[in-house]
Order: sequence, then structure tokens, then C-alpha cells
Amino acid sequence: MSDDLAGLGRILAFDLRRSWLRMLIWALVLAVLVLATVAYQAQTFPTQADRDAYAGIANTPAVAALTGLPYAAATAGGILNIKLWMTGAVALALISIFLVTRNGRAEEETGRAELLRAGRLGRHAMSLASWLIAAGFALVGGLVSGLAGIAAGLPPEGSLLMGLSWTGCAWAFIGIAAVTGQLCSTGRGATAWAAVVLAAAYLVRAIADVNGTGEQPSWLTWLSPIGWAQQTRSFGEERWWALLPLLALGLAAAGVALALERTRDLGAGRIPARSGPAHAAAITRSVLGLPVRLQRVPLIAWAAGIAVAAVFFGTVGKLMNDLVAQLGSSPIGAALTAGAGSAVDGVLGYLVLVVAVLVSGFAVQSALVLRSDEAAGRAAWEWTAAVSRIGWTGARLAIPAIAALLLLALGGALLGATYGATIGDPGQTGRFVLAAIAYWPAVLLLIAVVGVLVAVLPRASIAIAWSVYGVLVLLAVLGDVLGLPSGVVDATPYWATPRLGAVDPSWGGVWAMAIAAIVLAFLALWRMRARDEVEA
Amino acid sequence: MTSVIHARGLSKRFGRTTALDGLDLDVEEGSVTGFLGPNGAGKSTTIRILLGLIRAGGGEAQVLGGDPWRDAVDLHRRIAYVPGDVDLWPNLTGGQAIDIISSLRGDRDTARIRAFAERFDLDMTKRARSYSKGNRQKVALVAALASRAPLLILDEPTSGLDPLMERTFQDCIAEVREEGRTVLLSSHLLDEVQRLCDTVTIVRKGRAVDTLEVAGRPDLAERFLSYYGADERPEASRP
Repeated sequence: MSDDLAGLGRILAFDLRRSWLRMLIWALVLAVLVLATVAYQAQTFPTQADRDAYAGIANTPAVAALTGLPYAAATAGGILNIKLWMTGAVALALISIFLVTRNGRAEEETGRAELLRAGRLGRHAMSLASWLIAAGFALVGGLVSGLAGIAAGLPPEGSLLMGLSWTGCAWAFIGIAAVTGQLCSTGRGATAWAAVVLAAAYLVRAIADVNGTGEQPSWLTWLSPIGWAQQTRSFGEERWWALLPLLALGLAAAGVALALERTRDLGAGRIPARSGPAHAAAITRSVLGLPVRLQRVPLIAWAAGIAVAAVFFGTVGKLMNDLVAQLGSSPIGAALTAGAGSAVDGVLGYLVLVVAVLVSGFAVQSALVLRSDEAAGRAAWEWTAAVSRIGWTGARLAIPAIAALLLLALGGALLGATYGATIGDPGQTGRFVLAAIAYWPAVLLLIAVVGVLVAVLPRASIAIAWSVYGVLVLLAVLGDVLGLPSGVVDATPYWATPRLGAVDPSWGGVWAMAIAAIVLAFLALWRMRARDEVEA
Repeated sequence: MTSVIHARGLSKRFGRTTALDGLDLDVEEGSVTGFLGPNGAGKSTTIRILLGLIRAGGGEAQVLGGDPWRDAVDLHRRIAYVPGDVDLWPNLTGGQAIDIISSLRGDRDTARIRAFAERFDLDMTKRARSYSKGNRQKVALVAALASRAPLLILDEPTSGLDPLMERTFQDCIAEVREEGRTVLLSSHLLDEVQRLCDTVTIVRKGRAVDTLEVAGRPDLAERFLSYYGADERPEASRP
């Protein structure tokens, strides 16, 4: 075993050198989110009476489904959990999954691992290092978030437990990512399958939270690692022991991953490589068909994910409807309405926005194929064939643009149809489709920005593009929670688009975004034609 | 004879590094021209300019009578290219890659593809991810040789091939030359250059330092090595 771990210290230092900056930034982002959320909620609910009033209405099915069943909602810590806990837990778990793949399977896929393994580096050293780095990051991220809670004046024990529940959740998924990293032979596959497990865990605990009684979810929550992390109940009953199953899952999965790695070849997965056709279909041999063929799997995966999310949101919408009916025209009902024609439309509009955010994630990934194809040297095949740079670039911008429209329509239709079916009003679908398609110009703008980034700053484009998307998503989902000036929030693409059921929708922003998208897309095409090829 | 490739005073800088510093190159129609030089001398940069992947910083270049940057799309119908590093689409098979490369150039001929794949003993149903370096090289070679393009630009095409396949490659180039087509062959292998090339241009530090006929030169090997330059090695290895 000690031979299998030879060089572990060195490879740990190497991984740390490669990833410290991004880990530091993410940990700080989490801590700042905690501080900002607590500060803003203290403004919104300054007195105990305010918090008590909030607690009376906090427990809605939509909140339970999306961010977890509320408890202790009359305390500042409980409100922080309602607003931020799920975002923090999922974000920390996702980043940890990325880190495991980045320093593990992705290195093996590129062949760099082979170079190191030929030296004095043990069989398990590289994988173990990637898990330890991710686990260390998750611990620091959780602790820093807990300390931020303490600094913001929340009870110390609850703050620490909240932070560590994020850590524990991430540890469980580091174990999952360790296993998928052994099963899949590509980094992309390893990340995708771990993310699928994360999504499944989210869905299971959502069902459990929606079917809860009072402040307790149904027993189903114990089938989901996210559910275990929730059941630490920071600022509530504070069950420290609920961290144990998370740690146990992480360790057990890591043990399975070690056993898998012991018996496999370097570079191989558990799923054997299949042979394929000796010739390419006519469509694959065309300028537009090739990138479509290459993105077929991610396209189908995103469509399936968005469909599942939309159906799920549609079911939640019905539960919301019942609740809002009881609230009537109370001040609380008015707050939920947020400019829409009715409170229920306010919430449904938020769900449509989340669909648009998901579609945008796909669009960014798809548009970045511009860069990944060029960086890998594959673009050169087409650029040295009878293919113009404009046609090549245009094809890779057109795919996310058109797919985004279809995915928005799909998400809106399924959300509307499911919601309509549960309230017995099949006429809902069309209005949801339109509300979803209204986000198309915002998505197009994002695609065009990615295009310009790739054309102007090819080497930095991938990092910048995902950062832009991350900031926009945070503003879209948490904009009103973070207490930023409304002028800033309203100027962001997702807020500039009229929500479902808005009473007096203003379409100026949508037109402006559409025009900006077209101008930027032309800028990207022009610049791609004028610049040198830049390989990685 | 007319020049298929004609370059005068090509220059190119990447940041503070000078990759090309006034390079001249002529490739006559129907000839096989060797392109030699130490690593980092500027061979691949020259080839990338001739293919319109990057734009020359200065000087002029003509390929098949056109401007390689401005007329890129049109010229590429008449050029087959084998890059130095062959990167393929990992999820597609070798056969699919060959079909795509040929179709996008506009001269896919399945019978010829099959014939060359057989000569190079290439399994076209394997996915590119699982190919060795030599097999990826074969994919690029089959795609280039199966075309009827009048100009072939080959950047170290035999790296990774076994000796038997190297021989097959040399046979193929001899046939290409008999058909009257033109080849620019960047290579480090003196034996290969001596066997295949009519003329050789030697590059050092971004300039063409010598152009000579290969036939009837018994002192060729020494002459090459003098340019690879043991005397100047300290300078060449400076960052």
C-alpha cells in the first residue's frame, strides 16, 4: 500500500499549486454570500415581531421544494438557512466534484498522468491527492462560511454546524465523484455522472420536503445525502450526528474507488470502448452537421434535465396556488406578487426564470465549443479545408441560439402543461411558453458575449465566460435577497426580461438585448476572421 | 517550371519571440521539396502561414497563385494537409474523421479512402480516443493521400509510424510525384529526405539558410548537420 501512495505529498503540492486560486475565490464567495444574506435579512426583518410574522408564512411548498423545508424561521439563522443553505450546499458539492475531476480523471485523459506515473508515483497517489485537495477545500469553504455567520452575529454553534453541513454534503459527493472518476474514461463523463447523482439527491429530498408534516420532512429525506446534510438542522435542533452518514458515505465511496483503481489499467474506464462506423453520414460531413453531431449527447442530456426540472416546477406551482389562495390580498400576498398580476404568477414567474437560467447554462457550454475545438487543434482541420472562418464560427453560434429557443419553449410548455394539469386548466401552456421564450434575447446576448470573448481573448475566454454566467445567475436567483440597488439588479438580462404575468410589461430591455446580441455576434464573426489561430 | 509556393521575406512575431525573420521559400510544380531545420526554427509557423491559419507579419506569400490568407477557402480545395500534431474528434471513429476531412475539402472518394486505409493497415472503426499516436498519424495520411489535391503539405508526417509504414508512405509519395503533384515535406529524417526529395530548403532561426538539389550530393548528411549547428547550440537553447 505504501508503494501505491509513493509521491502523494509531491502530487498534493502540485494540485494545490494548480488550483489554489480558484479554491480561494470560491471559499470567499461563499463567505461573502453568508455575510450579505444575513445583513440584508436583518434589514428586512429588523424586529422579532417581523421574524415571527415571516415564520408564519415561510413554510410554502415552493420554498420547501426549491430550498428545503423551513424550520426555525423566526430566527436570523433559520432565515439564512431558508435563503442560502441549499445554494451553498449544492454549490460547494459541485465545485468539489469539478476539483476531483480536474486533478484526477481529466489529467489521466490528457495523458499527463502517464508522464507522472512513469516516474516514482504510486498507483493511488494521484486519485487520492485529488480527493484530499477537494475534501480540504470543502472543509475550508464550510468553516469560512460558518465563521462568516459568527462574524455576522449569528449563534456560533449553529453557524459552525451550518458551514460544516455544507462541508459534509460536499464530502459525500467527493466520494461519488471519486467513483465516477474510476468508471468513466473521460473527465466530462466523470463530472456529468457525479452531477446527475447530485441532481437525483436534490430531487429525492425535494419530494421529501414537499411531503413533510409541519417542520419535519417525510422519511424519504434519509435516502438523499443532501437530506442528511439538511437534517443537521443548524440553528434548530443542531444534530451534529447527522454529519456522520455523510462522512461515512464519502469514505465508503472512496474505498470503492480505490478498489476499482487497483484493478484497472491507466487511462481505462470500467465501461469498455466500443468500435463505431467506418464512414460518416452525409450530415456529419457538413459544416453545420459536424458540430451538431459532436454536441448530440450534451444536447440530449440538457433537454432531459430541463424537461425534468420543468415538470417538477409545474407540480410545485399547484401547491403554491393553494397557499396563495388562502393569503388573499394580505400584505404578504402583495409582497409575493412582486409586480405580477397575482401572487401565484409571481412565484410561477420565478420558476420560469429558473428554466431560463438552466437553458443559459447549456448555451454557454455549447458556445464555448468555439474555443475548445480551436484549443484542441481540431478547428485546424476545418480551417485548412474549404470552410470559411465565418461559416465555422456561425455554425457554432447558431447551434446554441436555435437550441436555446427550442429548450425555452420545451421548458415553458412542460411547466405550463404540468401546472395546468394540476389546477385543471389546460389553457395555461401557451402563456408559459411565451413567458419562457421572452428570455430568448437574454440568452442570445449571453451567447454573443461568449462569441466575442472567444474571438478577442481566446485563452482566457472559458474562465471569463463561466464567471459572467455565474455572476448573472447569482443576480438572477438572489438579486432581491442580496439587497443590491434595484437599478443594478433590473439592468441584468434576467431581470430586464418581463416576468410571467407582469401587469405592465416593458419590452424595451428585451429589444435592446436582441439588438446588442446581433451586433456582438457580428463583432465576433468579424474578429474570428481577422485573427490568427490560437491553439492551447 | 512555375512556383506552386512562392514566399519572400516572410516574418512573424509572437509577443516578443521572433518566429520568422525574412524567410524565402520556393516550391516548383511537380517537385517534392524538403523543409528541414532544428526544432523551433520556424517550419510549422511557415506552414501555418501558407495554410492561412495565421497571417504573416511581413513579406509576401503565394500558394497556387493565390494569397494564402485572403483566398484561404478557395485554395484549400486544392491542398491536402497533414499537421504535425494530429488531434481528432475523440468520440468519432478514424473512418468518420477521414470522411469529414475529405468532404469539407470537397473531394471525398470512398474507393480511394478504402484503398489507402488498407495499404496503411488502418482500422477505421476504432474511436479516435483509443488510437495510438501512429494510428492518428495514419488517419491524417489516409485523408491527405486519398485526395487528388495538386498540393500536399506534410508536417513531419511519419513521426510515430513504424518502419514498415514509413516504407509505405515513401511509396505513396513516389506515386504522388509520378502523378505530377507537388509536395512540401517537413521532416527531420535525412534518409527520408534523401530518398524522396528533389530539393531541400534548410531553415534556421526563422530564415532559409540554404536551398540545394538532393540528387548527386554525397555530402548531404554533413551539410544538414552543419546547419543544425553544434557550434551555435548555446545560443539556440536560450529561452
